[in-house]
Amino acid sequence: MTLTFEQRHHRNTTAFAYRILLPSLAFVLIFIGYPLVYSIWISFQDFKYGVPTGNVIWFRNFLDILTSSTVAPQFYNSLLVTLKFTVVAVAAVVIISLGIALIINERFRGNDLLKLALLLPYAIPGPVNAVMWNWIYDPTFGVLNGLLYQVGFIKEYFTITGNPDLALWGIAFAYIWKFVPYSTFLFVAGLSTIPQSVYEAAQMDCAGTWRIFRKVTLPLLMPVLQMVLVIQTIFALLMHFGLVFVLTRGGPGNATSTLAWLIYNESFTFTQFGRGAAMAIMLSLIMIVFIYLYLVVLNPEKRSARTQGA
Amino acid sequence: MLANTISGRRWRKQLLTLVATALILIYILAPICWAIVSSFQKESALEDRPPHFFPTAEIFTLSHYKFIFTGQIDKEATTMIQAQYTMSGTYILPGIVNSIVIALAVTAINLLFGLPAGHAFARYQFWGSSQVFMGFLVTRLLPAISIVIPMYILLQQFDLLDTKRALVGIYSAITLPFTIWILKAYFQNIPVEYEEAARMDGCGYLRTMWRVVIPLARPGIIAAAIFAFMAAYDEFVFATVLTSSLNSKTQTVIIAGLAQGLSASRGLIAAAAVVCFLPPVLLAILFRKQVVQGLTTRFA
Repeated sequence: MTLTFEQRHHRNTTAFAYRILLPSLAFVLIFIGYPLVYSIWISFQDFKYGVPTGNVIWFRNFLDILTSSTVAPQFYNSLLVTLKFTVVAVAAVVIISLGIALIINERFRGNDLLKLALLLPYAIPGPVNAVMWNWIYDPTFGVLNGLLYQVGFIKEYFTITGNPDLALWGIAFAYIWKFVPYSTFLFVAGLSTIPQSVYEAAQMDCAGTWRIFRKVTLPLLMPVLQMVLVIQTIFALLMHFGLVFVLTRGGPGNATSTLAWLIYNESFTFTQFGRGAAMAIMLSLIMIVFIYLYLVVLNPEKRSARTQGA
Repeated sequence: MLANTISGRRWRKQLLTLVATALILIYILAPICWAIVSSFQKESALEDRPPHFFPTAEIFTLSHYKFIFTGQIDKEATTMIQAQYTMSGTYILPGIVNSIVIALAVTAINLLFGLPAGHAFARYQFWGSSQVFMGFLVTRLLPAISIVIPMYILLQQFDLLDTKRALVGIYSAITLPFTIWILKAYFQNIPVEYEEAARMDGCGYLRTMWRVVIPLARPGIIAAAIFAFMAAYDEFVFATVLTSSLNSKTQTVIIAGLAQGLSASRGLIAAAAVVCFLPPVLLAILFRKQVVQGLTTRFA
């Protein structure tokens, strides 16, 4: 192991490094670490808003969420809604963005324009995106209804956000639109590391486009694909909140009541802080599985070092 | 003959690529275009069936933007439309100002503290460095909703609810880990010899940072600053719970509230959306090279 300059000249790098890290550490510990620990403590109480402190009831909140006849059905419904949303959103984002990335990778004149356009959905704030789609979906004057009607696809204007069978997919569509660009850029970067000579060799063997994609591109792209799958899952579990908030507020009924929405509603509409905190901890536990996959199993640190070294 | 079929195949492929590109562009741009087109239409035109896909002269109006920027309603506007220009329409601009002020403060904190931190992780091998670094990364990915309840209670105790300061603190904590991550990546790509040479010439830590490290890592620093700004400008979960007045309400909260008003003018909502997304969109377009490069440095 070669010593860095610092190590050769400073006897105590550790003390120096921590002095530099102190402000950042302080921010994270005060605004994330401490509240996180506190939220575990709240989840052990029957804490309600307005009551100074609740009684400590330990795992009662968790038990209620999982077994009681009032909360448990809502919780399981939210779990199912979140699962449906996440699977569809992640699959669609990955397929669409991979398709777009393959086209950008064709290297032709229009692809700079495509890259520029992709930046727009990425940069538009989530709630603003929600407001835009709310107007597109509008059941009385919305442009989507207008278009479908003009083409003769529908006989009457219909509601998307008010229909329990459609609302979640309306949200998913808007979500997918905003999150496609990010993974597209990742795929484009991944594709650019595949040397052109590999394709040329494959073409020499007269392999067709689909065959080249399956046998050459996909295997070489696998590390990026895994990364995108996991990071998109982490995003999808939470980043839909603004859309649900604006488009449906969990409704109709509880057709779009995702876990994130249920936690918000339980805590800030029904002021059940203890129970809300317990649900939030359960969501965090689900997410930690994916965070572990991402940071430890896939480890972007090591991977990018490898690609940069190449 | 062979050459013919190959060039024919190539030509067909190019045509396919072109068609696909056009379709993708429509998919990406249509929702944005519709928001922009709507924002320039008179309220009565927005309530026509079928909708007007292009703003012609007789339905064109600037009154929605005029209301957002000046709070004034056109004289010819009917009383019904006056009722639809709810008070919250005048909150858009203060909301954007709040968002920008908060986002700028967060960006400054990110650069001031995240820059040396990223450098420390890139250059020094110190006791616990990989554990602390991993800790930063985990906090970046944890769901905001899991700490919003304790945050509410804590801010209430310290009388900091509905203040910009509280949001600046929280957003800084959320964004710092990512800033540190991406800057670490950039610093690692710069050969350490430049810094060593500066040190040999007698530059201290601060001088080396200022004269050597920062100029060399400029693209990464720009990217990190833009990501911090956009993340703070976009944030919604904390903002909606922890703010209650124009004191600290950000544009995300204002526009979400505006869209939920049942009688709010549709043109006004569309114009508000356009005004709200302009700052981050312009930023992303202006610095597109650094943004795309930054997005893909660490695959996250």
